[in-house]
Amino acid sequence: MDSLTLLAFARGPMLVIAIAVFVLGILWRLFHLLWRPSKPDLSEPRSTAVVRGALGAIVTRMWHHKTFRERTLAGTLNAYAYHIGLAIVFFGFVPHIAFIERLTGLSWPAVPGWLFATAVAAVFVGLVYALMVRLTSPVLRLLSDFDDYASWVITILPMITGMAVLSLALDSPYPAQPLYPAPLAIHLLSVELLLIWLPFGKLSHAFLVFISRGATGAAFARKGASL
Amino acid sequence: MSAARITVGTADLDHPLDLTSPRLSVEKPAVRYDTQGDRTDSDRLAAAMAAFSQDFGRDAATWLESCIHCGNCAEACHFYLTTRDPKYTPIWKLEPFKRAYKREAGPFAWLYKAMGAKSKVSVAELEEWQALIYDACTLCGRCTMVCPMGIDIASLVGLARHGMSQAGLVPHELWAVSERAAREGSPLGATPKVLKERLAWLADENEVDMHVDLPQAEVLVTFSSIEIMKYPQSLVATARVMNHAGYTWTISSAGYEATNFGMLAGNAEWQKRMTMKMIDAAIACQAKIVVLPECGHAYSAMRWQGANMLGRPLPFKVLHVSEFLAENIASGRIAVTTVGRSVAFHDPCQVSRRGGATQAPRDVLKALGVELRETRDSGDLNFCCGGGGGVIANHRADEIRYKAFVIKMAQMDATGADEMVTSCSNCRQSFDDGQSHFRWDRKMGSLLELVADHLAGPEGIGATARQVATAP
Amino acid sequence: MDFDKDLDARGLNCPLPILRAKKALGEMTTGQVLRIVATDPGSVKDFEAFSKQTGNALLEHSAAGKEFTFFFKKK
Repeated sequence: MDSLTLLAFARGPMLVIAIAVFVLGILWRLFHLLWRPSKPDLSEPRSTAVVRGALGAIVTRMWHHKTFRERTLAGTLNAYAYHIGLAIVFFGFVPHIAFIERLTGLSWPAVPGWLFATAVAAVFVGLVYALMVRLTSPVLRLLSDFDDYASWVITILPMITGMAVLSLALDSPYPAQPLYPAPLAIHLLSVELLLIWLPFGKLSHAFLVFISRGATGAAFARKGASL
Repeated sequence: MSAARITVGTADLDHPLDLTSPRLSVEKPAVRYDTQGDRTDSDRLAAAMAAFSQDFGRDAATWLESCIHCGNCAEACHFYLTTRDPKYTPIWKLEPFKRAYKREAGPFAWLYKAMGAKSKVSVAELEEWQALIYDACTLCGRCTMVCPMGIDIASLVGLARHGMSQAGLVPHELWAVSERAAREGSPLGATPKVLKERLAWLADENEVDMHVDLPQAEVLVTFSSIEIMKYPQSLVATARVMNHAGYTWTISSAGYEATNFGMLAGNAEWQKRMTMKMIDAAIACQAKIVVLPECGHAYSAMRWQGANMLGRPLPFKVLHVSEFLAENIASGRIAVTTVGRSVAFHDPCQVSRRGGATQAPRDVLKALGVELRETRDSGDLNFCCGGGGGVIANHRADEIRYKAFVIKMAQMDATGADEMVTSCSNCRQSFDDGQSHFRWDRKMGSLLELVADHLAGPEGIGATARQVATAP
Repeated sequence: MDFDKDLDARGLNCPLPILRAKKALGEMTTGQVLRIVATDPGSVKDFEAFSKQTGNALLEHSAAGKEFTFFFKKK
């Protein structure tokens, strides 16, 4: 298979498969959760503002309580660094926007080159730091399983493969013909691996975070307890 | 491992109570029976798994699937913070249950089974985890406050205990006291006969009117057996407050015990039995309000789970005694005099953080004119006394419980307050036990007793000859 | 030895004497001396470790009968 065929495969059938698995996987998990039995709570609620409680928990849990700051600040800041970094890299880079535009027709302005470079650095440093903590903290070593390490590798792979495609000046327009079809194909395949893996492993926290926080927020609001 | 296991059959119920030490429980067993019934491992496992998959409803399933293994919950747990042993990381206490859920009932259970990707949980593992979900978790829920995914770990531990109970894997003392409660009506020997004798003695000794088994009353008053057996002055204080406020009130010898060790052990049937006694008693006397005693888990059991036991909304209002005091002080029905000392308040986790009644005791203390000195972590972020969730009954947990208590001592000491009060008799005995263990020169008091000692007007102290009013 | 503050930790068990000493030192100024009297035999080892950990100098300690006396200089 020559590199252009590989690229065609990565851009064509494999992309369709990856997006299908991504969407169906998430839908299946959501359906599975909603389908689980849920007994009505007959206790007299202290407050009926459960929706506000759920939304409130989603927002307030974005930051820790002051009393935990000393012990969780580093981890929280680091998580923000690589999450925001990933978002900037994925949604703010010129070729990525062009790629999405070709698929969906949607487009938006790119971020400046310096911001993109900072985001890339934040992702690499952040992910490496997170792994180091995972490997050295006795608590995290005990908790960690295959999913944690696999998810780490699958998340950093598109970053590494993407670096190999970075041959142009950061602000230059997206070329009609890719200069290096093979590295680009590999980059795309690594992103597709991420899409396929996401619904199955811990990366599903991307959508579960809202449901989990919301469930607790609603339950606590009902009791008049704060989170 | 099964060969060495000693099990207790239903015939062996001889677990004598120890009612003289600072902490009430069964006597320290010479031989522990941490498994119940004579059953095969596969039978235990099947029972546990059936209970797990039945229990793991929508919310629980969401929480079990959401953990990102960040380890933050360890930093909220008094058992981890004082031992630095990673096994006390709250979410780790649920590891086999998480695995059981994912393998048996999760979204990809079919895939895991087909691939053999997740191994089946074994009875040996459940026995190992017994020490984590019963001895090393007070269900205090502080971990819930730090989890970035908002997982309510304490709820999950409570559910996991159901499976453990179904499998006959409850720690010796917790099983013994909850079995006694189901059989005798009280975990600590506070049978109806003992209760009536105590009330007669207390009424006489303290010259206060007590009402037992009135056919009709506005308020049904309930107690914790810890109060009945260890803090009888709380019973007197309750009566004084009720008389002062001018309610028609009664104690029911058919439903007075508000503690619910069945719930703590994870035995849903025993939990329901204990709760229904109070509900039936309240319905029988047409009570409009059921007042729960100074007890944390009693509040969870009746306020938040009672209606679910009955199967319909409760036909009466449920108030923790601190809420009852706050409401009646606010309405002017209870008048208090000024205390004029500084007080540090210890929040019972199940009433404050997990019950939503954090403000009530503070309103009461404000009315008493005390200078409230909050601990560094107070209110909803309060550290547990270490004795909740049935942990205090369990001798095997003593060592880590004392370690965890050090946080509490340090925070209480740091307030420099003249006195300490709480509104949970279980917390209180936990403090008493810690006080004795560390020879601490501070004593935990009761919010209810503080109010009863500062009632304004002649009702404050028994003015006339009092007696127990008992229905014919 | 002269001291600026006296802490009676008699009768208290480990780790209460340490907790109390920490609190007392926190309320003092650098260079001041705290005297502590304790009865828990474990307190000797504890206070030595406490000194190393916190950097507050343990100037002197002595035992008389069942009582142990410690002098700490606030860092």
